[in-house]
Amino acid sequence: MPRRRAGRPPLLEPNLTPLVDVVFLLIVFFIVVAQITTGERLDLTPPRLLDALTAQADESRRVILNVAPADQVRAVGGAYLLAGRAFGGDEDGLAALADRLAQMVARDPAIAVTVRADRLEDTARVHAALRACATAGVTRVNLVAERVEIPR
Amino acid sequence: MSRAADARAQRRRRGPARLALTFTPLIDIVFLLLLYFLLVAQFKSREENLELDLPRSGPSARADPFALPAEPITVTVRSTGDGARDLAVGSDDPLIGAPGTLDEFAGAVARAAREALTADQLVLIRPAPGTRWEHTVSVIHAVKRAGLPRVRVLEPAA
Repeated sequence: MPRRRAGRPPLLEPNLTPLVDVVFLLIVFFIVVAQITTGERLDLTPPRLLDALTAQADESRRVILNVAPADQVRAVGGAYLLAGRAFGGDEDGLAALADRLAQMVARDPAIAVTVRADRLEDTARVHAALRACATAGVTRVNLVAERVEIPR
Repeated sequence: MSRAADARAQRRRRGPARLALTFTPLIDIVFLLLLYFLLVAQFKSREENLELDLPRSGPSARADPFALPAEPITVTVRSTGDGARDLAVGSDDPLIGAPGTLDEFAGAVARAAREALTADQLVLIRPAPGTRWEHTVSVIHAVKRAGLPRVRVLEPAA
């Protein structure tokens, strides 16, 4: 066994600098990803369903179509928000929305459109979005709802 | 000299053992756990999906020339308030009957689906103007729950 030199304690401290570097990188990465994913979702309360038939969202091959609540239309820049782009609620806006959806359908015919609307939203505004989806050739939409457990 | 006595003598020569704890690895792990749980809590969403098929528009709609034309059932919805149960649901169909609460409607449509209707029965939902989206979704859900997957939402009209 090699003899230790007297007077000098053995250096057993691990070097933490690379660990801290990597952890900071991970923090930044997740913050950025979280910003991107929450940016697609407007702040609203979806309808609540008792004893729901709903299923957890499949995160692949889906696009989120938000119906902006009336008090957020100004901040969003339009009545509808699809994949980060705002569309107006008038005829032109709905036509542009249908065009954009049709492009997405052309790229992936099995694409699922997730429709998010506030629980107190007027059905007419959601219906206009659904009609734009049907015009674009989307065959299935997912309506976002919150599952509520039956109170016992 | 025995081995134990030898070790004791060695310790005495070096001085008292240092008993200070190093907290750095503990803090590292705690920060990692904190970060992990923060991220998990943020990503878990309570939102779930209710599937709805949209009608195929245009001439590509597949029409079976031998299928019997099934009369669609029209269901009307009207909001009476902002609460989750503040709605009136009715139907032109004698099996489902006049407007009532959501629970009455769910029971009636489930009974009708069990006794008289087939799974390919088309159900049209016609909301009154100003119907809350939650109430429309509740009715869609009640019809699908009864085992009738072909549901369509019509344009709101009186």
